[in-house]
Amino acid sequence: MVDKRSLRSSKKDTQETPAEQQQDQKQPKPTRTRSGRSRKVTTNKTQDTETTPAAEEGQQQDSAAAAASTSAAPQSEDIVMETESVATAPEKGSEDIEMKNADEHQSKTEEKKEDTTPSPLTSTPTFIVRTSLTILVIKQNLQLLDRAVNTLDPRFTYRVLKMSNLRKRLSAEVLVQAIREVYPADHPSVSQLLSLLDKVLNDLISG
Amino acid sequence: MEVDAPTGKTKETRKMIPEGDAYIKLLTQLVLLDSNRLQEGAQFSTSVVQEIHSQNRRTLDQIGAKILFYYSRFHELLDDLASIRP
Repeated sequence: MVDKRSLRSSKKDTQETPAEQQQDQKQPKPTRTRSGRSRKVTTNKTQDTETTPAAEEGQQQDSAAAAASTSAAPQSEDIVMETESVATAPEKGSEDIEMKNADEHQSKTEEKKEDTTPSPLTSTPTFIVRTSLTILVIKQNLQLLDRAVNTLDPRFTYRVLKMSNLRKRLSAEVLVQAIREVYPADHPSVSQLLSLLDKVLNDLISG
Repeated sequence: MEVDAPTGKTKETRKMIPEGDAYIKLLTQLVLLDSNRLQEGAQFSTSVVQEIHSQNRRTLDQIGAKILFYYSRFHELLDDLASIRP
């Protein structure tokens, strides 16, 4: 009990220092544990309600940068506590998430649109990244299979066959590229697979 | 500098174990199924299943199970499950 409390108090001290340093530097270090926290919250509140969101973001970034110089973990804790106490902070968080979602949706729709016309599809950066990532996953799975064979341990095979999210990301283009990269050139099944997948690709182009 | 890149690529002698081969073929099955090419998929699956049977490796069993599942799935969608009955 005593140990915990002492630990916590010391932690709080470290938490307070970064954000406090730029907001009010007059207060001495030992006395700021409780009063400093409540005071900080109130100042944040007034700023949130009065200033524009952009300015607020900049301010928060500043504090984040200041905190990052000292330590990363306490900073994140600090932010969580702020969102709990400050009324406007959660709104901001949800706004951020919405923006991310919108971005994702955009990229997804882009891909769907371009599935019918494969020529510009290969040029979009998001598609290239996703393709290479999927190929990377396939290669990783092949390595796992290799290990499964070497150790005679089916666990690795089961992990590969779990197929987590791979089917969604799989497409004929991705698989063609993966086959070209993965197989040795003179493997007998390469030509069979490529001719099959070429049919699918041609279907996509025509239809 | 320019010479290094191609040699490095060809130098890693890529070996394909039968399990890896079967895995890629399983992925091909998935692509064929998702693009709704049932006839090709059924033919392809039949050849893959025969191949797996001929290899007779115990490490291939787990992947083979999944390949067999999609083999039967293709035939189910084509409505001729009776043809693959043993």
